[in-house]
Amino acid sequence: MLLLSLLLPFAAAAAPPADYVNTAISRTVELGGAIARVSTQFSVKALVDSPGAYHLALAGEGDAVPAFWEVTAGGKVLDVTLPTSDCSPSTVQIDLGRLKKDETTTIALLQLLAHTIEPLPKVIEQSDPQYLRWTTNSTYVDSWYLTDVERIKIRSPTANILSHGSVSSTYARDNTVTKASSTVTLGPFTSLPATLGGDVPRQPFNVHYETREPVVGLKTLKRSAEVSHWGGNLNIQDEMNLVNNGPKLKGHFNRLAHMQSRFHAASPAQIFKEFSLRLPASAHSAYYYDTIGNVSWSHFRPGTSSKRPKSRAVDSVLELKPRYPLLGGWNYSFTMGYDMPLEDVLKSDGSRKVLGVPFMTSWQDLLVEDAEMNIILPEGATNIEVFAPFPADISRWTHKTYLDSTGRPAITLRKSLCTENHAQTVYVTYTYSSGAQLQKPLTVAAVIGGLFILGFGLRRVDYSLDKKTA
Amino acid sequence: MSKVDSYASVKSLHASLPPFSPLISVDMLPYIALICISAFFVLTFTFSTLPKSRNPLPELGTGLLASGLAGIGIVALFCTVGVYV
Repeated sequence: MLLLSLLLPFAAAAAPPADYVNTAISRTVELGGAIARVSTQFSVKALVDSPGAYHLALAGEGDAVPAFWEVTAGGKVLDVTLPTSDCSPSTVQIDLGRLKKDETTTIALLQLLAHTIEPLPKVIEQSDPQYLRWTTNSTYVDSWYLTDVERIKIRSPTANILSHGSVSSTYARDNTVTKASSTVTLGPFTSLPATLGGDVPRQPFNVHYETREPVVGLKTLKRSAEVSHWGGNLNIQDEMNLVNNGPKLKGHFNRLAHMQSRFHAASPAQIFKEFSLRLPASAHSAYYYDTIGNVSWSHFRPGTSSKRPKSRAVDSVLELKPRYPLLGGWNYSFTMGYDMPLEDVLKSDGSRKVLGVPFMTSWQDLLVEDAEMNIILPEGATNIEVFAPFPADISRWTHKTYLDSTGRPAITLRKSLCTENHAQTVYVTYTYSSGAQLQKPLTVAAVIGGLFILGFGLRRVDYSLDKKTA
Repeated sequence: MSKVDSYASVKSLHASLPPFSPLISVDMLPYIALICISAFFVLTFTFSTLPKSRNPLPELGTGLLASGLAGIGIVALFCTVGVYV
């Protein structure tokens, strides 16, 4: 079955034809600190022969589009683009091919939701436990079609769930909400009408739970990837503005209590002390500094390249510690970077080059409010094309640095609300001839040649004060 | 190179092409820097000792050669010390 997906602007008022029914919907919500990960399986049955496209809602009426979303069918990720219009609810049309009446198929939707989790209480003492509350505007799965059976599971990171919302028993035979350890199960709900474009009222739902990991985010992430053909090197540098989005501290920070907590089995959950980043296997010469200077509390463990026989690639690990512990609401800005061989990311077809650079380093359960990536190509690169794995604002400019004459072409990609799933590769193709590569040594040679010509002329100038007579 | 017009096609192209190799081996750059810059200094000294004559060819030739060696040597030197230009 050939599956094609096409995204079209969809008017909020018009409901699609009732050509499908959801025989079963199963949703799992994994609650974290900053991100809620929602996985939904739709078992879909065609009600007519050759039905039209299946309308899959990405969010409810008035809700923001998820920070990341992905539609899978038949085990393959569908090539879907983000909505270009401001229609609500955001909906994707998926062509399921020529289905016969009563034929079924399965669609999987992955969503990463941002700004749906908040600390509650918002202010706590230094040693208090940390609680978060996840809120959704609609209990049921947003769908344009009737649903026979629907079940929703919400998993908390710990078994300590203080409270949760309630659900109407209109569409439930037995219990509407059951709690078992760290899982809250809603439903099963049966014979659910279309929740979108119909009369089903939206019911908000929330889960108030404990988390034992600090809630961190990046206000801004600025990545710079600089290509050097002469040095055969790619330099990646990240400027990060880290913030602890957990509950704010009540009172003053107690350094003594913080130092003593190191000897306890569990230190306060909201204090962010250290983190690790997985870097490419061939990364080397890692560095880490902030506004004060080099931060020596770091450890770099180089990885193993897979080029050696009988070995698989092992990522490098960079373990970093902020200069001070981060409590709720505290910020820390720093710069980290590393080099890697250019041959690992750049492929060559004569003078045409294809470069693949990761947009950001994968960091689990982290939300980046604003991410910016600058790709700096070598001086003399032409015919530049950019291929991003997701829609982003792209601009071009010229960067000047050491030994440059005309400057290096640079590309900037900007995207907001980035998650770990945005750590994908950005591809850039460009033309870079051997003649262009000689531009830099010729520039240096020209400057020094000019000095020689100046010296040639100055040697012939008579500097004597008294004219000698013959 | 085949035409690329989508992310999927450039991704498969990137996977299929051979890796980049620099014009001059990176391992040779420190030696090239040493030799070229040393030769540049020697030629500059020679330039300064050349007699002034109406025939500019010896001086210009020496200067030209020294400039070329300096161009290559300085680029190699920058790469050697970690400033990848």
